[in-house]
Amino acid sequence: MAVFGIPYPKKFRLRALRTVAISAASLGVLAALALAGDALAAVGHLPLPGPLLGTVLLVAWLCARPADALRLPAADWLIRLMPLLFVPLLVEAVAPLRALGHALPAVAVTVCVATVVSLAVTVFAARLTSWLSSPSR
Amino acid sequence: MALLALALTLGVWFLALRVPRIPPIVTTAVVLAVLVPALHLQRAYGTGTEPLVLLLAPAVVALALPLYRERLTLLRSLAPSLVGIVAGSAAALVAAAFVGRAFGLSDTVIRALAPRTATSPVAASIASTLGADPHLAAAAAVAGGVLGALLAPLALRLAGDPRHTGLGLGVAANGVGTARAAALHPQAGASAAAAMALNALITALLAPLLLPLVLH
Repeated sequence: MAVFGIPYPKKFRLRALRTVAISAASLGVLAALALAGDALAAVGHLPLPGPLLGTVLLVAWLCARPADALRLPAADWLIRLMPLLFVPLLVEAVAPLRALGHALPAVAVTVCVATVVSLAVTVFAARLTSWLSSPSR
Repeated sequence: MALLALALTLGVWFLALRVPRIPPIVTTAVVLAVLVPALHLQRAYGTGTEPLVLLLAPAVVALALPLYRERLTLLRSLAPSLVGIVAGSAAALVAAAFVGRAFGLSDTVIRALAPRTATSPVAASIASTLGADPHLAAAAAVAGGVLGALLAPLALRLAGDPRHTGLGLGVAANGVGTARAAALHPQAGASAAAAMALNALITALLAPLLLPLVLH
């Protein structure tokens, strides 16, 4: 067998298959954790979204079993793909933003100011605290 | 038609990855905002791209990994990180409420805009618990994220420390900013992921407490 004209030995085919299988399985684990988080939020009447509780569950799990951090290859490509996953939301965001009509400029300014303010406040507060707590001050 | 919408999104995305300097999400969104109506794909677009949106929930869970990997660095700079994240979350909520008020926006719109620093699925669900439009919240979250991603190189230059820039981007610009931070600097990416996860949590807890005080 050859891929793009490059010979592709059977040994590598099996390895590729294994990689795909592990990726799919780890994606399943992540999805299951998201659902578990959803269930937990519903049962506990928590104000938090399910997937985020799934994140907390996974951190706790990894602290208990550190070796499993290497068994989740899907996590890395999901994080790398994250901006792509937002594209449909952004394209669909056009409709609710357009529905605002004459309020749109005010909304745009609010979003811009709040983004810049929170970026600046976060960086400033972090810098100030690390400066205050540094022993060499 | 639905499959065409998905293929179009992926195709434009992979072309946008080759455009230097501009974050690919911006290029892709602008191109698609023109192409989708031009090809009359609006109706099919939602169904076609549903697989991508479905992957967002496991992607949010996947943020546990950078959080776990950077736990030692995060614990070492725990106080600055926590102070930064809490201050940034609260500032975003209060700034949105005050600026929105000053521009005469209705309380319902402000409730949708305030949680927008949280990642958009989170912002949407916070908005719906606050009685606001989840679609508008998600839209504002992504739009704010894109703005933050565009500001990222400037922020990195002004802040100096990539960890602090990462915190700021994770808080102010959610997933879009986190992805951008990771592309700019590995340390910024890790602290952005941590900040984004914590910010989503803190915003979910703070929004129902802070907003009634400002909006009454």
